[in-house]
Amino acid sequence: MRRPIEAPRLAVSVICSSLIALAAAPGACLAAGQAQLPAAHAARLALDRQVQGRAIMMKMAQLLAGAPHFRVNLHMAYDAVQQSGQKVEFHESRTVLVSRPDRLRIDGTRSDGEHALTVFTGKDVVLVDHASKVYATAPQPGTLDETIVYFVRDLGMRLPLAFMLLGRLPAELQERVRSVEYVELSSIDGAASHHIAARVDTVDMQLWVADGAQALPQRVVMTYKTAPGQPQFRSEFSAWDLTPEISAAMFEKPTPDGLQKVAFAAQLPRVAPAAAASAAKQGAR
Amino acid sequence: MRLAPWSLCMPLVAGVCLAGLAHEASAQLRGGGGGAGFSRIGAASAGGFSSGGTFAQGRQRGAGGAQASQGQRKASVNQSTRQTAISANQARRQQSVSQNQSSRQSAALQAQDRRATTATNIHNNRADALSDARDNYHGGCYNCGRSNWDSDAAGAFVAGAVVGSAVVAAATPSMSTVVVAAPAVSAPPCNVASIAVNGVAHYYCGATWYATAYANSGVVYVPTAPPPGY
Repeated sequence: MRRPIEAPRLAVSVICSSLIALAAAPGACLAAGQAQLPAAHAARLALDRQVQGRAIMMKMAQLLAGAPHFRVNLHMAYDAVQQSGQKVEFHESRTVLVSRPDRLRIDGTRSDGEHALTVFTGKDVVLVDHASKVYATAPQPGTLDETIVYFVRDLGMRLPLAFMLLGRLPAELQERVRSVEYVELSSIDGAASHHIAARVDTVDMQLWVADGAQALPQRVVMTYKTAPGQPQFRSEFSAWDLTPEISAAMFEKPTPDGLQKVAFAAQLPRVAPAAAASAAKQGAR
Repeated sequence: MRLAPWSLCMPLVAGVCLAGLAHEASAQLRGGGGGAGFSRIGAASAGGFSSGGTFAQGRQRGAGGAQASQGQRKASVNQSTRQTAISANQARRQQSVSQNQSSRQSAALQAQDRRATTATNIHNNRADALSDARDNYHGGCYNCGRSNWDSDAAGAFVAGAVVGSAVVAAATPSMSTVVVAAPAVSAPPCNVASIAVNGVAHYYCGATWYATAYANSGVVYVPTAPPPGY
């Protein structure tokens, strides 16, 4: 009794299955297409983020490099990784005054209250360390760019964010930045800022650049990814002034009364102790 | 959801513990132990756009007044400790590098196909931009074009360490080329009167002349040739 009924059922089942399969086939193709579409879309978005991030970074660089003068306050913090591996954070405040083509003045105060002054007068490089009651001076080699490189590379002195003071900042970034990506539009002290993540060979940099025509940096975080402990350097920029009051007195050679003159260590000829002892003996003869 | 009574107490207990620790730390700071003995400098202190990858070294604040002989003793102990640490770090870095390399290779292969089309465009754009940048890069700044010029900010402080090591190595000349951290030298290396040479104070300690100098880490005393006439 059941068999006559089973046959039509089987036929109906086969027909239905075929219909479902036919109906599903375009759907499957569509699904595969949809999977490809988001991937392409994501790639497009990623590319857009890179282009946008680089454009904002370069806009900032052009603005800074093209400013004949500027003043800014930096509130910096950095990790000092101790031999034990422990990270200790130190702070420092600096007021930076740039006057191109060859003048710079930096007043700095460390978190322990010690004050130092660095001046590029146009003729001399002068560093005054009030805490140690010493000052050092060297002839200035040329333009601000040349002197900044000389100060950091040849004299071996600290000049945080030195690259941002260069007139050739745009070229510097083009040369050294390996990738840039736009993160988001965020807020720094209530001001809309573009958050950008850039990578160079040994440093990951995050940069917050003010939205609008005055694309000035508001904050920077640099992670030294190849250094033990991957320490960070952080700085907030405030009180930007692209038309600061400039006077010659600001860049005059300081007269450090009562301070001891010292040489820059890098300028002294390195003498091995044995050679020094030998030379001393010869000198004594 | 019901919480056990003890779970409600945990934050309170933790808070009390933290408050206690904070109070203790605060007391230690008031006692003057806070910043003493910690180095302020390292890879991040320079705020450069590249890194030499070093530990914080150099002048240890609060440890001033060390005589040269004390520095020598400390340095010979520290040197072996640091060499051990350096070897361990090297091994760790090598392992990390090889792990990273394989990860990067794997990721790179996956990403390669995806990027192929867009990369060509980006490469062309970047090549043009880089070419333009390079054309202008050296303009107005002689010998400034070397990449990573500011990684020497960390290197400079290693240079300070070389200075220190030379001070340290006075008793062990065979080790004079070994770069070790600068010891705390914030006072003249021996107790003699200074001699001004071109306005810079020099000291004659043992058989070695030292000049007072300024390095990334602060004031250091650098072994130098005898001044003219000495």
